[in-house]
Amino acid sequence: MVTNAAQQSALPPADLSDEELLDRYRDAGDVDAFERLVHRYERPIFSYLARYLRNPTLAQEVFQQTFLRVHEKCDLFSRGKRLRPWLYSIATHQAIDALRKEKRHRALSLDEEHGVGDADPSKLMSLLASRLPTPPEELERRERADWTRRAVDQLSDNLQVVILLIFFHGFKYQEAAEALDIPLGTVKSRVHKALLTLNEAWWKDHPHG
Amino acid sequence: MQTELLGYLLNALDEEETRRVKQLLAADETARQQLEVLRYSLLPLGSSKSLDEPPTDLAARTCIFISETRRTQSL
Repeated sequence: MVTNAAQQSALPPADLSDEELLDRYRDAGDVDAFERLVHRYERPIFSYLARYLRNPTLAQEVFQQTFLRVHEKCDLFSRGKRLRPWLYSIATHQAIDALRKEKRHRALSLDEEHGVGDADPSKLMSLLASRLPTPPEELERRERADWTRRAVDQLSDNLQVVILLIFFHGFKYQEAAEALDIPLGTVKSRVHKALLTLNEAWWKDHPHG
Repeated sequence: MQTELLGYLLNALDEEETRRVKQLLAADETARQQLEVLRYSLLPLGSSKSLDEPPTDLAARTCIFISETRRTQSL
């Protein structure tokens, strides 16, 4: 069992495709191949879930559940299909289930972000670091990125998820349709609608560009 | 055409669609103008596509979690 980054060298070659890794796991029980997949998708899937759920802690739980489902359902993965949309489809369904269970959709509280019982000293360091003087260009870039993040977070779930997949995760329209199990035309129209909404918000907040 | 041009800007088209859009842009001045207008619609998305960083041991913990599940199931 691979338990840390130092042991990743024991994993199968990094140039194996996602589909080849899953085939190895499904057909030969190659656990290392499965773990290579988990490590490969650690950052993108976690990031996707953290944005979609708007809750990094819940995203960690859902990340684990996602790969548990991959383990349980790998026999159902069709040969010749691309793994990435299937993986994101599972992640999305798990996220929706988690939101239903937690009943915390759109209900982030101040306590969650700054829990009074949370005494992690690194949080104080992060807070102080964020107060240090910043060069103007960096400040502008950060403000811009913060604006985008807030605006995307405020989109409805249906619109937000297509922007996350296509813009932030580099999905093709077709892959997003597969991942979300919706028609291709719906993906395109949602992208259009999302951009319209974002532009309305942008020009409202930045009347002079 | 707008949807395809937008997809082109977002790099969301497949190879065949991308090839068709490139042909269109090479031949059609109106399409090129539309592309430039649409480019502005991406302004609110900014240029940063940075991903959120996971906790350093998330993948490792997940592997352990699934390994334990696998072992429990095989008992």
